Amino acid sequence: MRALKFLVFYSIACALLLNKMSADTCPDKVFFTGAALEGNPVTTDMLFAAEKQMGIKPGIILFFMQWAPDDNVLDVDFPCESLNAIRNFNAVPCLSWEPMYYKNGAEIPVYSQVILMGVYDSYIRAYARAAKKWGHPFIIRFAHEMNLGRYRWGNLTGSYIPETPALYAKIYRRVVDIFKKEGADNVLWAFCPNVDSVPNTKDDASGDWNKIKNYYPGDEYVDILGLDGYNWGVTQTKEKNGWDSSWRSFSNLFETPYNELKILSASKPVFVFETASSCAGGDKIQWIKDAFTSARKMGFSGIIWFEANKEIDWRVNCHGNFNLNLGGITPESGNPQEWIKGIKNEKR
Amino acid sequence: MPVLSEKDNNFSKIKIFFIIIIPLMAIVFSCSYLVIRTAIFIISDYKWYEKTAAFFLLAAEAFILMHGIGYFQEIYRVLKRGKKFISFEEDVKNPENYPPIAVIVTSYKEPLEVVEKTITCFYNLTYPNKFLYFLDDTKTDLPDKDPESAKKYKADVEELCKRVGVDLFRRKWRGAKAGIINDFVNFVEGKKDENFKFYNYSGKKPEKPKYIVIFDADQNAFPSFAEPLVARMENNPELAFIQTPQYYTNFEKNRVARASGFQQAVFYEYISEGKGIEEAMFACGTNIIIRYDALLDVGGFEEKSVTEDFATSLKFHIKGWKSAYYNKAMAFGMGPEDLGSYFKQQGRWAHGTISLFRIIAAQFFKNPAKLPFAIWWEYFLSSTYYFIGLVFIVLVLCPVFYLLFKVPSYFVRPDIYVTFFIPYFLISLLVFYWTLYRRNYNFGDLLFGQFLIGVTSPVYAKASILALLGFKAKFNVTAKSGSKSLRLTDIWVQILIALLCLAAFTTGLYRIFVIGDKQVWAIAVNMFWCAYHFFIMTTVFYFNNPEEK
Repeated sequence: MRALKFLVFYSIACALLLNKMSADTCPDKVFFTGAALEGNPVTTDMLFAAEKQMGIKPGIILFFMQWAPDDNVLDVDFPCESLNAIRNFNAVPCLSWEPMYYKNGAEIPVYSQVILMGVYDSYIRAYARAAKKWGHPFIIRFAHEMNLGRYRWGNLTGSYIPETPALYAKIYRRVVDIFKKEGADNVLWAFCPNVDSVPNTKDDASGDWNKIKNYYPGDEYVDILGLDGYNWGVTQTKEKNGWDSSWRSFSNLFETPYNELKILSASKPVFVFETASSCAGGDKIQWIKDAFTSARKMGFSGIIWFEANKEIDWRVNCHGNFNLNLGGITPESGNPQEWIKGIKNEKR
Repeated sequence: MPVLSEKDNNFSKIKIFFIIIIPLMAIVFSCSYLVIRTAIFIISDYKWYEKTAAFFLLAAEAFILMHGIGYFQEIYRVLKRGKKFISFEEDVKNPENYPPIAVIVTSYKEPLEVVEKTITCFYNLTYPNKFLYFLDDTKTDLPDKDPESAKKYKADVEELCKRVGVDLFRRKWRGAKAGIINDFVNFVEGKKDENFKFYNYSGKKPEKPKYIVIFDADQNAFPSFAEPLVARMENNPELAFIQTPQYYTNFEKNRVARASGFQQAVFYEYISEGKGIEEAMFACGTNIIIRYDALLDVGGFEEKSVTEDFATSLKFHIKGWKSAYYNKAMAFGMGPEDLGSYFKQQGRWAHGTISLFRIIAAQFFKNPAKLPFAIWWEYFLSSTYYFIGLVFIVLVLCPVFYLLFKVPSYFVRPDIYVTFFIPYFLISLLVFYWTLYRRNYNFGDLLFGQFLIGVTSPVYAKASILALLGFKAKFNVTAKSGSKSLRLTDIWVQILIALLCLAAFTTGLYRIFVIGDKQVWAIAVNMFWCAYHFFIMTTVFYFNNPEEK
C-alpha cells in the first residue's frame, strides 16, 4: 500500500517536472536562420548552393509563387517539387503566395473584388486540396508587405486608399477559410507586413489609415507573424529611385513594428521573413552580426535572409570573404521540422 | 456569391430528362388550364366589371405562362448544348495577332474616384494593341450648375486622364450615351466638327479600331478582359458583338445591391446563355465588345431610345449580323445602393424596353420576314418582360377585389385550380430554383431578388403605361455612393397595396368566421394570396433601409 502511494506520488512529481521542462523549451526559445530564394522551382542544387554561400544550413526556405491569371484559374501549379526538395533538405518550406501574375513581363494584380466575387475560389480550393494531399506542415505567407503601395495586393494603382486594409483582411480570410473548409490544416498562415508603412503620417497627413493593425485578419486566421525590412544603405537617391535611403540598424528597422505585432498577438511566434543589408554606407558584416544578436534579444523566432542578387546584391557573402559561420553566428536553436509540427499540433 | 468560374452544366441524362419532361408537363398543364379558363370566361354570364377584372387576370396568367415557356426554352437550350458550352473557352485563347481595339468608357457626371478606378482598370488591361478613350459626356453649361464646380470637375477629369495616360473626348451634348459614341466614331472616321474636343494624353495617334469595347464608368474590367473576346470575334466574322455579364461587388452589406445583383444574375445565367446559343442575345450597353465595321454598317448606335443598346441590337440582327453571349465574369461594378436609384434605373430600363416593344411589334407586322421567327420570339419576350409590373398588380388586386367587394374574377371551380394550376406553379418554382442552385446560387438570395421585383412593380407599371402611350419619362443616372432611405411619401403605392392586402385578408377572416360564408375554399385561397402579397410588399421597408451593419 505504501509502495503504491509512493508510486503515485512519484509519478505526479515526474509529470510535474517533465511539464516544467517542456515549458522551458517553449517555442519562444527556438531560433532559426532561413534563406529566401528567388527562382522556381526550388531545387536541391539551389539549397546546397545557398548553404555553401551562407556558411550554415538554413532551417527555413522561403520562396515565391504567383497566382494564375484570372482567365486561366484552372491552371493550378502547386509547388510539390519545391516543397519536397526543401523537406528532404530537412528545412521548413515557406511559400510567399502572391495574388498577382506576370504577363508580357508586367505584374498584373489580382483585384480583391475579383477574389471576393469568387472567381478564384476553385483555384484556391484546388491549391488547398493539393496542400492537404502533400500532407506535411508548411507556411504560407499570403500577400506579404501589404502596407506598401508598391505591392497593392488586390488594389488598383492610385486607389491605395483607406478602404484597402479592410479589403485586404477580407481576401486573407476568404483564402484561409477555403483552406480550412478543405481540411488543409497542415498549412500555417503567416501575416507579414513591411517594417515601414508607405504612405504614412510622416509624409502624408492623410496616411493615418495605413497601419499594420488595420490589415490584421484576426487571431484565428494567422498562426505566425512576421516582418520584412531591408537596410538599403545609401543606394537609393531621390533623383534615380524617387526616395533617399539611409543606413539603418536592425533595431531601427524592426523594433517599433515588432512591438505593434506583439500588441496584435503576444503569443504567436514572430519571424523576420525577409531582411538583408547593402554594403553602401556602412559595415555590412557588422550589420549582420548585430542583426542576429538584436533579433534574439528582441524575441524573434528567426531570421530569413534574402539570399539573392535582385535590386542590389543582398547576399550574405556578396564579397566572397564572409559567411555566417565565419562570423561566429549561432544560427539555430531547435529542429525546424519538429518546431513546425509543434505549432501545427497547437493549432488543432 | 456563386462560384463564377465553375459553371455547372454537367447534368446526368436522367436529370436532363426530368428537367425537360417536367417543364413540358408544366406547359401542358398550364395550357389546358388557360384554355379552360378562357372558355369559361367567354361562356359565363357575369357583370361587365367582373368580366373586366377576369379579363385582366386571364391576360396576366397568359403573360406568366408565356414567359415561363420562354424561360424553360432557354434552360432547354443550355442543357442541350451541355458541355459543349464550356468548351467555348477552349477556342478562345489569345488571338494570333492583336488587331487594334478601342476601349471606350462613357461617363455622365460620375464621381472622380469611380472614374479613376475604371480607367485604371483599362490601363491594366493586358491586351497589347489597345487604345483607351474616356468619353466625358458631362454637361457643364446647365443653368442650375454652379460654374465654378463644373469648371473644377472638368479640370479634374483632364488631370486624371493625363495622369493615367488615357485620351479624353468631349463634344457638344446630344443624344446621351449613344450620341457621344456615334460622335466619337465620327471623329475616328475623320469627320471634322468644331465641337469635337480631343485631348491626346496617351501620346498615341488614334487608329481606326477593329473592335470597340464599351464600358460604363462604374464597371471595372479584369485585366484579361479583351483577349478571349477578340479571339472569338476574329474566329466568327459574322458576329456583331459579344455581351458579357455584369456582377455587383457591393452586395455584402447593402440589401438593394444584393437583391438587384441576384435578380440580374438570373438574367445573366440561363436566359442570356439561351439567347446566346440562339444567336439572339441583345446588347446590354456595358461590358461588351462590338465589331467596328458592324457598327458602321448599321449607321451607329440608335439615339432615339434610352435603351440604345437594345435598340441597336435589333438593327444588327435585322441587317443579318449575329450576336453572342460569353458567360464568364470579366468585370465588376457597383449596383444601386438605395431604392431611389434602383427605381430610377429600373424605371428607365422598363420605359426604354417597352417603348421599343411598340417598334418591334410594328416592324414585325410590317415585315415578318426580316428576322427568323425564333429571333422575333426572343425579342418579343425581352421587350415585354417589364409588363411584369402590371401583371403583378393585377395578380395582387384580383384577390383583394374578391375579398373586399365580392367581385369574382376567377370564375373557375376549385378542382380545376387544384388539378392544373397548383402542379404548374410548383413545377415552375422547382425548375427555377433548382437550375440556379446548380449554378451555386442559394435560395434565400434569389428569393430576395424576387421580392425586390414585387416591390418595384409599381415603377414598372408606371413606366409601361407611359411608354405604351408614347409619353417620355424622366431619365436620371443611378447614384453610386451613399445609401439613403426614401420618404414614406415616395413609397406610398407599395404601402397602400400592402394595406389593401391586409384589409382584404382581415375581411376574409371576417367572412369565414363571423358571417359564416359558405365559400370557405375560395376565400381561403384568396386570403393566402393576399397574405403572400402583403408580405412581399412589406419588404419595401427592408429594402428602404439598405445598409447592413
